[in-house]
Amino acid sequence: MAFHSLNHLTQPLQSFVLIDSEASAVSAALLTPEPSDVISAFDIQEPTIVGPVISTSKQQSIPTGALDLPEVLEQVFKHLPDSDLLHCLTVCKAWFESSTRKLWHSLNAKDWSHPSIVQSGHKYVHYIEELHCAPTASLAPFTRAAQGNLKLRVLEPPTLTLVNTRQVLETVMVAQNTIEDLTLVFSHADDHLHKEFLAAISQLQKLRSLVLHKARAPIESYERFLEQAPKTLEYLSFECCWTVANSAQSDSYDQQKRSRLTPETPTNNLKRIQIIGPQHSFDTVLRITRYTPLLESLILSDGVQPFFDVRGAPAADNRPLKELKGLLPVHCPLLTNLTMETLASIDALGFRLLLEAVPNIRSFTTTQKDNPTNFIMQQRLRNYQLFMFSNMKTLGSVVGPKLVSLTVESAVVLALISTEALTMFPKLKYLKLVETGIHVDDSTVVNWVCKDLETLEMVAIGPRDWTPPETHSEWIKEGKGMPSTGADFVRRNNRFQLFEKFVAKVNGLRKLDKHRIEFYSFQQ
Amino acid sequence: MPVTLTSLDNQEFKVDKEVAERSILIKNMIEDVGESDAPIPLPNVSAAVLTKVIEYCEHHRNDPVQVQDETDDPRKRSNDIEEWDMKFMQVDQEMLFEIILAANYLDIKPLLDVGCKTVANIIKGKTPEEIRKAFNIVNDFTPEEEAQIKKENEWAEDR
Repeated sequence: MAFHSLNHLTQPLQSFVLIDSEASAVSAALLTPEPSDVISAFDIQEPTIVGPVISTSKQQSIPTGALDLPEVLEQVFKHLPDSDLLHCLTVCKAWFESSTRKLWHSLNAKDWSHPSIVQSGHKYVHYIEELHCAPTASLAPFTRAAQGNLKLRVLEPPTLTLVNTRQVLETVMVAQNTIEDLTLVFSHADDHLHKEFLAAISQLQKLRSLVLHKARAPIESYERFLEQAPKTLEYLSFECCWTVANSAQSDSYDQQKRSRLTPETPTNNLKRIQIIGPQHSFDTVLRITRYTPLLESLILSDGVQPFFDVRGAPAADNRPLKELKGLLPVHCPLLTNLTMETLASIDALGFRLLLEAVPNIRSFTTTQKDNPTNFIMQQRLRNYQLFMFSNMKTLGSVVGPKLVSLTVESAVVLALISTEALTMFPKLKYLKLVETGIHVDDSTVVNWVCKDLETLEMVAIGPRDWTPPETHSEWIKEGKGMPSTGADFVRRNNRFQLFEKFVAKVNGLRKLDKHRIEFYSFQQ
Repeated sequence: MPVTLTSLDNQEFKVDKEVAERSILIKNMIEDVGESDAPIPLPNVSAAVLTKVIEYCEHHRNDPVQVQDETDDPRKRSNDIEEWDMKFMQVDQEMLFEIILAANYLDIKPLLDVGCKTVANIIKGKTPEEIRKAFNIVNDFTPEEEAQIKKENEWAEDR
């Protein structure tokens, strides 16, 4: 009888009623103030529970220990939908911590317009790490209480009207003491609004990282912003203003402001800047870097339209680059890291000028979203390869002896390996090779890395889409766990040989600490 | 080349090196020590659990290393346990937790993952009280606290 009634305890609301009528002892237990007594009382009386079988004799030693480890609990909660996480919240205090962290980690606009959040969201604010919002609601309940470390992403709403853009502005203002990391995505807002935004952002007192997507404000707005940027700001990424700046402006700038091209007094602490735009954005680079005397890293990126002319034709005008060569070292004496998203389509002279504009270069990175299988690239494959190859040579001959760190992502690896460029980096300590699709001649890589680069301290090598298994001889032999297509098999198999030879060789290198070899893949 | 593992209760297990090396802990140990015939002591794992863990590693000896795919929606993933793994995980709860602890200790990510998915599946659809029952957890909240937490998190109900 007792067993029958206790079985109903799995439905907590009914259990009070059912037991109350049957066993006064149990109902007395229920009334005791300490809930722990209640539970243990049930446990002793109930021989089995629903679900996995636990024998009574071992009940005291059940190693729920696994669930006492926060990292295990976290792993479990990763697999639960919110509806179940909600139930986990009130299971016990230990579970509350882990499930709250998961539940509140990232909120969207709909979440925080909910009355329950408006009322008590401030209590949970230290669990929030990311706010994704369309500019339709007020952030005030969180941002007033937040202690910092908040990542705010204000995303592009389906239609951006003047009204809700103003709300974003207000939001940003309310949160000015909180936001460390701000991403704004816009498209069709007018120039006037962008100016206002930049003015508002200058007020953010903790801002460290700012990403402005599709914010094509006039260059003057950015210049003004940089003059009064928050002291905390270290990273800025923005799309430059090619749709706004016309050639007339550009000319007048050349003639009138040439005298101003001296380092401005340091008003900000910007260390990294990413400029996204087409090739004539070198004008932008030239103007922006006047305001960043502490700049260490310059990232030139393609964005929607290629920074460099993808057709592979020589750039019509290297004028901004020529100026850059003279002025960048003066503007940014600390600049040592250069990243170029596309290497293939800048002509040799332009690339040389750019490299010479960074006389203290120590680290060069090229990332390449496109490889020659891309349809645009395929049409221009010949030019593409030509430029890539000649630019890898240029890299080696112009700055090779200076480079301490080299990251080459993508198909450019092939160019690196296939030219004499590879013998031109005598001081390289850090090397990352990440290829996207082209099979690399393994022996060349290995021989190069091992023979010519004895200074290496850290090597990372691997294709973007693949991680070497830990044990691989069987894997190759039996073809188990292989991708389904034959082409993939061959490709991966080749990589395997590369990997094995590489490890064997690298293990023989003295200077290279084997624990610092990193074989990795980029997640797509 | 076989490797000898010694369990908590001093039983010896001979397994292929590549099977043993599914455990990152063991792999690193072997790397650090170098080629050696000396048994590897695993003082945190009992023979019964180690038998299970080895069974898992044998079955998955040829798996390529899993690429952690963070972009994948994790909420859907507890349904995608392989059939073999599902059967493998049909053990009593004590063993389930022992396996999870061992996988955590031995650093066998895929096994830890399958174990945690299995636990997640037990939790799914249960009320807080049912969850406590299922895992013998003591409720250290007062009814008032519980009600308040529920109210403060109402927003997530229609997420």
